[in-house]
Amino acid sequence: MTTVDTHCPYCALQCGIRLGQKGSGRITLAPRDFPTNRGGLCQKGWTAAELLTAADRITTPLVRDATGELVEASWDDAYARIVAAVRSAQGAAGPDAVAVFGGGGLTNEKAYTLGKFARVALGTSRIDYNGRFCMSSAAAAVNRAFGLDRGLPFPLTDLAGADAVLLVGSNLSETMPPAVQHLSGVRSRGGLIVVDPRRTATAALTESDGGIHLQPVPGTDIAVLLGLLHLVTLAGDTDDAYLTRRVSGWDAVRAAVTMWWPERVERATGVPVGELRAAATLLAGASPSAGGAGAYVLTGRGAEQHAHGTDTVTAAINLALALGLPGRVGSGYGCITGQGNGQGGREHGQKADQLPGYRSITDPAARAHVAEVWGVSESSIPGPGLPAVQLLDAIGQPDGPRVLFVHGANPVVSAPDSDKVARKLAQLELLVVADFVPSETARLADVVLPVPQWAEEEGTMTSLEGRVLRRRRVIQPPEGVRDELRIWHELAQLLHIPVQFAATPVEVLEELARASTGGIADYTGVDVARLDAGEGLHWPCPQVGHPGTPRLFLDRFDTADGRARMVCVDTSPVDDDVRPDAPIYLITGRILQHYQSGAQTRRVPELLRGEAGPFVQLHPVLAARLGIEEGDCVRVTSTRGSASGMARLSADIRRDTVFMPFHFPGQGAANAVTNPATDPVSGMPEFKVCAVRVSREWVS
Amino acid sequence: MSSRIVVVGHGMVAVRLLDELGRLTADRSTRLLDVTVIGEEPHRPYNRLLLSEVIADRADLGRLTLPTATDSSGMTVRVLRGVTATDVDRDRCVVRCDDGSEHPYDTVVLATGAAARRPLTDSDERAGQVRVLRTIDDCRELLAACSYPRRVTVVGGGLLGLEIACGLASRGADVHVLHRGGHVLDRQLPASAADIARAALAAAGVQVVTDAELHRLQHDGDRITAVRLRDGREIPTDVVVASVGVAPRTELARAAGLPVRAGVVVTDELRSPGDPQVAAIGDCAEPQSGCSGLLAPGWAQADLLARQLAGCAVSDVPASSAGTGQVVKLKAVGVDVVAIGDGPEPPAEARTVTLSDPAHRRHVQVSVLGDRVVAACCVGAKRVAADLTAAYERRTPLPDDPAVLLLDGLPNSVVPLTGDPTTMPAATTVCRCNGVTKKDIVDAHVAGARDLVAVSARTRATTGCGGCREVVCGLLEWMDDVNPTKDVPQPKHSRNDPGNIHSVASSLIDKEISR
Repeated sequence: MTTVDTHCPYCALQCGIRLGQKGSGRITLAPRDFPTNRGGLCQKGWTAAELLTAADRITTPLVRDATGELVEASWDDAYARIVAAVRSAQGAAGPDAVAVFGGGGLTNEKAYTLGKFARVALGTSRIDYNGRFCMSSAAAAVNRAFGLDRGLPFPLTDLAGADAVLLVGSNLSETMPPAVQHLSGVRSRGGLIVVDPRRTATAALTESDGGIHLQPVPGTDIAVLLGLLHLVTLAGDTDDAYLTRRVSGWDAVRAAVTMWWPERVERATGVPVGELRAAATLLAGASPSAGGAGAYVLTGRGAEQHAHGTDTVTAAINLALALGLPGRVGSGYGCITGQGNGQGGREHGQKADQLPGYRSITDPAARAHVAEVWGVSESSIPGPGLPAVQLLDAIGQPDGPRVLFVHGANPVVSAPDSDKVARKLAQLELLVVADFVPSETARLADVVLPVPQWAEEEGTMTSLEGRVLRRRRVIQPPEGVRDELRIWHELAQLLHIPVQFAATPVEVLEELARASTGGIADYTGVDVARLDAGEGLHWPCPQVGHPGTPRLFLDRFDTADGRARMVCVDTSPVDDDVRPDAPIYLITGRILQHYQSGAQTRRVPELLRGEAGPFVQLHPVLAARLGIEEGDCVRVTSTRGSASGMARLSADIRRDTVFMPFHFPGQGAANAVTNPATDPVSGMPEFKVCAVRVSREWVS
Repeated sequence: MSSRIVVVGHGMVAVRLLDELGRLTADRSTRLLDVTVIGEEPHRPYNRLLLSEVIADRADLGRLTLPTATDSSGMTVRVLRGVTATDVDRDRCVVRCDDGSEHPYDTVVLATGAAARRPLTDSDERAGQVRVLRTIDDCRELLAACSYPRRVTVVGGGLLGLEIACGLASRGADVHVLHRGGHVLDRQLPASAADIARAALAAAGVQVVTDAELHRLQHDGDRITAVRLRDGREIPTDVVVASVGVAPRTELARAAGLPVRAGVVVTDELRSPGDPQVAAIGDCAEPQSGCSGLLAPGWAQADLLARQLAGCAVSDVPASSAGTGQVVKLKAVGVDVVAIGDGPEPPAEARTVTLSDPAHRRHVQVSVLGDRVVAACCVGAKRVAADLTAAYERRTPLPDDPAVLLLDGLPNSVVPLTGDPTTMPAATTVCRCNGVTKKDIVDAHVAGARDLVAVSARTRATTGCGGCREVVCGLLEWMDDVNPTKDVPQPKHSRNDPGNIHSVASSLIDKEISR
């Protein structure tokens, strides 16, 4: 049996696994000892090989025919359709008539090439990706504060030694279960603090003297954070020497936070004063300036997916800075990246405002550098495009996109106000979707391009801790499937673009590394040989042979003056807040068995047996009020749309809130209900809170 | 021509006004505001509400500072500190100050706040030795007077009085609270709830004396030795601090000939009915609804006035800032009191349910009307209070039976994983990460998997986060008993191997895993 060491295809933890291929061709999968998972795997990981034999795998291009059916077609026909539509749309309305929507699951090589394909082959400014729905608020806040955004600026294993870890809006017991191992140390010292409107499996880790669970009203995380900062500030527990030496903006933040005394926080959040005080005391005592072993402040999507998510993350960073945590071994602030390549995906140019190396597309020096690597003139590179929600919303507008390429994303399920997104996609002249299964978005496409999946491709991924990892091929993709790198290479030729598009991952990584040189996410020293030799390379890796940078900011932050920047932030009302005709909050999230839009995990029978469909978690008191019993079908309705699921009664959720997982399509699509209002800084939509009414649809 | 605004007073409501003006004018260049702020105290503005936190030793006095207003593109701000406004000359539209300066205005905003009332001022020559807590200087002086544990008498059993009392008690002082009424917090709590609060106060080291009318101070030379009550009772004491309410500071308005009742009378637009160029907000103002003495209405007034002054349409004012009902929470060490609504007694038309639990110093009373909480009081019930506050503020749906609101929810639904293996239902999920039930473990054992590695290989239990290892080992020991292997003694299953998951995983690698 041959074996190959690679990583799980799903989340950003990128658990180490070993794949084997038996003589029979069957693929076996087992965990291996890798720092992030230490031999652990969740049910998704264990069953990931089943995806490789998905029954409805797409193995030939599909093209919508005159009768409106998707029918099998040759690659030449599919390409011809695409090229004609691109020419027609751009001829009529200019380069921006074609748009690209990428994904945080694409390898670094594909993310890079997709950005280049958009700007060079299509000449469009309109490229963005589903990471906008994932990491954008944290990225915006972290860039502003530290000048450099790497989800965890330290190895995950560092958490083991801390005396306190504050997790705001992260349910890693469900989203990346093996990561829970890294919390065992802090739990044994009673130092885990979880902020979540639900008593999630993660929140339950605080029980039995593991720490504290704060259960705020949805949309009020920022007030909790301001309250914690208030308490440590007023008590004089701030690290004043650190603040003087390494931080700017503290005076204004300190004065502003005087206004968030704990009784006011309780009124705003529903978190009892005593619990807030206990959390503040724990954090302060764990901080290095108080002689503690260290403290971490970590945020997840629960805190970030709001129309003011950047402010909330900034409040978390301000708290961490006041305690003197970032840039210190054994302490810090971090954001827990979601998608498999959510880190790498945001560095190489898929984002509307960025070029490879995490460079700004408006920075003339960055443009000149990348233009030279690409062999184009600087002026030919378009300016910033539209962030994801606005990009999709522009479809059907006079100057909106007429042709859309979707790669590694399923926005019909994953975007907010998803029914509207489907209506928008229907207005396109041509929708091209590259996928390996007929996702809900692929089913709406005019051209579907079959591509390889994880264990059929080579490349690199960058994990939540900024470590570059090898994704390796164990089997060849089915006949008829073409790699995206090849597709873009061939389309560029058909479009008569006189620029080289490398078609192998090794070549692309070499080009990506050059394009990143001197940028923020500098991959100069990253190459396949070093990764294959087992080197753990965390970017920045700015020279050939550089050992990488597991821990950032130890000497200085990446800002012009080397200081971290504190920014004053305050609370904002929930955009779509409760009112008499919609008196209940809806929050959404992930469950253990499924990943993102579910396009992959809903095709794994064992995972479907574990969690087959949508449900609505609600408190028994609320259920009684609404006449709902366990197992009833419940409809959740906002001003945008509605979704249904089975009632699941649980005292683990606030009485004013219901929860739905967002992995399911159709009638159970939670995102048909969620709010597309976006953060003014990051473009993040307000997935995590909106006002709904809840009713019983039928009895079980 | 820019609009000249003179703000008299630089307390929390004035700071809010300036903050809102700054925000509203940040992106304007059309209308320039020229703002002068006249602050009597020499300090930078500070959060007065936190003075009692300083007394309780939970906050540093130097850290109460509030944000300083700064110029924006649409507004310039000049702040005077340690300067007292002496006169509003409405004929010339100028404010005169004690430093001789004059400040012309188009609008003058009175935000002069309120002064602490002092007892005994007419009757006792040593009334000046009674301390109050209104300013930073008061706070410093009170702490100095109580700098070593001693006997303190607090006159007034309202919110601030109790906060001072509990704060000083937490510093080791021997504290009595004298209250004129029959029970403390009589503006917030009914007697039944206050009795419970009184027990909690006693436990926190604060003795309450009710129906206590202060008569005079006993002294030995300059030193206070006791307070004497009108009914003859005498309480030995070293320090007397009064918290008997505040009086709106109306001197300027009165001298300017403007209508004044308890406070400076203002219209719904917060202007004096006698002169629309004069506005008043905060503790010094008396709108239609009366003087509340609370911060939230003052802030709502500041928000409303800021919108007017910045030229925003009044109809733009969000309904929520027009003033909500009262939620009052005592900031006292060791005593948890929250009162919601408009007074101590529940509205007669409401349905009111009560939980009275004196033995645990707990009292909860909730009044609902239709689908809303309209009043509540909670003593010694922190989480219930927080939940009720959230429900009151957001008007979220209530349970059919309001009695449910008296307790903080139901037991959590997740079966603890440390459960007894014998009583655990077979369908209980033992390993969440891999969806493994007790039945799966039992079946594996019956099928011959007798140690952790074998069971993990068969079921994947313990191979996610590893958190269920303890329970799985317990199940295996139980199964070893009920399903023993013939004549082979079973080893105790190891719960705490270092690198536990890895030891299991490595034994699985290169094996074919199937179920």
